[in-house]
Amino acid sequence: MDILQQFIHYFPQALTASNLAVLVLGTIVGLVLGALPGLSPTMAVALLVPFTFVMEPSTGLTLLGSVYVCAMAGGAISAILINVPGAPANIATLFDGYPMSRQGKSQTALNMCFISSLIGGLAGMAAMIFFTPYLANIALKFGPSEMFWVAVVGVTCMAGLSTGSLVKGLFGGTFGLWLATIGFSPMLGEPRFIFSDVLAGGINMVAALIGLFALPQMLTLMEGIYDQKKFTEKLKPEKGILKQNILHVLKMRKTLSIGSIIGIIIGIIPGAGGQVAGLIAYDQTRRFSKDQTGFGKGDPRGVVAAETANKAMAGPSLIPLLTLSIPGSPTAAVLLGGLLIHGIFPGPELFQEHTDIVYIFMASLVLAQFSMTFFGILMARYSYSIMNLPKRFIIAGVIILSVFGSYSIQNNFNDIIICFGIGFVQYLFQKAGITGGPVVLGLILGSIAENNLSKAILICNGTGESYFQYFGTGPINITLILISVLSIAYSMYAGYRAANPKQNGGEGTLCESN
Amino acid sequence: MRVELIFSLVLFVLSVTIFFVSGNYSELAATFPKAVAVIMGTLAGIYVVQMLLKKAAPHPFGDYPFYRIILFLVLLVLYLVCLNYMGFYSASFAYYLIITLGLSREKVQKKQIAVSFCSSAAFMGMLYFLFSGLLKVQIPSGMFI
Repeated sequence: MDILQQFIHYFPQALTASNLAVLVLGTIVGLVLGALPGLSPTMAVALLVPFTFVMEPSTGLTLLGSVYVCAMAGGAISAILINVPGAPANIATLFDGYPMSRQGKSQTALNMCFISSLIGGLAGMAAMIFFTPYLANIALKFGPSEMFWVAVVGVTCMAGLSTGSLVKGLFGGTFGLWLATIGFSPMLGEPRFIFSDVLAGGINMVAALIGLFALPQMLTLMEGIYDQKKFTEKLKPEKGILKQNILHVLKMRKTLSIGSIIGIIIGIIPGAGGQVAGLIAYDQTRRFSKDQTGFGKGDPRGVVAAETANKAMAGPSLIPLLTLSIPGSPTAAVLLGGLLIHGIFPGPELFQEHTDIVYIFMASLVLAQFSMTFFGILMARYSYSIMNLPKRFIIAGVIILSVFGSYSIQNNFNDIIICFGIGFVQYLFQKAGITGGPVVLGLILGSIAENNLSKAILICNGTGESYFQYFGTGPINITLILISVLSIAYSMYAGYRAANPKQNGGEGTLCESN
Repeated sequence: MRVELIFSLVLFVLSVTIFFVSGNYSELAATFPKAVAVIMGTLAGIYVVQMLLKKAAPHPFGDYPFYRIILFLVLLVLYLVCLNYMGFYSASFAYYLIITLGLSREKVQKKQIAVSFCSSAAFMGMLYFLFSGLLKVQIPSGMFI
């Protein structure tokens, strides 16, 4: 309990006036920057690093920590309101968040998003505070073979993300895997599938995901713009729903548990990221639900699962950074820069040498969860006004923001072309019933799977170890293989159940709570 | 010929092409794309068979006039071309104005032009303040701003 005592001891020091002021500033800046497509949490933190030069280390880290936490939450705002995720971590949020907005429930979706974010965030922080030494040891056990199997487990979720046809969903996923191979091969740097200079740098993930969700949705909105029935109804603020939303989320114990556990596990694995956590949690929640018919059509459980998971991974994702000096994500690498600027060198001795700063930083991350929820819910109250804007203004605005978002990642014009090129292909896919979820999952997992497969092949060739021995032994490998097999078996069973509804009692009620 | 059947055939051809193009790369660089192409091809094959067995489905675009989509995409391409010549803010201003007027359900009148002009100017002003004033992030530049 030494860690808890230390945390309680240093907690009041995080409540100084200067720390609280930067906490509020970081929350608002994080939410706003996060909501802008293309301005990822990494970029948001990087933009604020120079401002911390003149601050006390604990105050500076409070600012960076609050921006880190809140930018990811801000990404959910644009995902829910305009179907464009502000950050990759919010991809799974839009599957049900945007349909909820289209049904006039944007405030409910955002309220639920921030409440579940708070719960997931606190679960992740608790894991970080209490289990840091143990989780750091687990993180060290993930080598290329384990990482490859993590990607395979993710690939098996593709079936769960596809709506309608299993074949189309899996095809979309493998198409995403192929997109990830465009560019230079990870180990040899060999150019592959570069048919034009535009593709020389490969497919940038953020540009691709903006295109995958923004352009098809705007074209779909345009198709319906002349439909009088669809656009005459004005949305009104949903009054007195906060208490109802809190109770509804708290009832979803199963969804919250699945999201938190998956978020924490994915968080400690370097390189996996919030997007993988959100997508896997979304898929597992769907699988463990008695009634799956509402998913993808505005089921609150989808929003809660995704947001709980991507916030739960935030705390544990810092464990490899703080204990081993390994930044597990680009954002963690920028945070590492912020720590180094203040003369703090992460590693095994960090907790002894800079005890006060580390615990104040952890306390500020916990406080940021509360301020994020408060300001997020405040913003949610006015969300209906965006949904009431004439669609032609939304279409023009989203296209312009997509241009900015895809360009600003690397200041590269080619990313804009890739963004809209992929968007147009996805629009055609959508017409054929292939949704964007599996494609984006394939794109994310493709590079993780191939990098680690190539590394593993080279290791096997170098050591003379057989592929079976390398990939098929060890407790983590075996566990992940079993999860993959069970996941595929379940997909087949679910497919059979859907094809024979009479034999299993038909369909349940829509959007039932856990 | 049904549209979706043609689409599934295109996907099958794409998968086969990826497999053969992968053959040009070294063994280590080709392992993953080849495996992906085999799975893609198998799934596309199943998709083709499904389409052959299926009755003709309604046209994916329904009654919607397809020329509007083409026009929208042409405007998008023009916008992207203009970005490098005019600059982000001026090209975006023009694009916003044209799209908001072009997608209007009613006949374009002076009032609508004024609303589109003002909202476009306000949106660009907000973006300028945020991106160039506050965050100082780089944006595509050209003759104007």
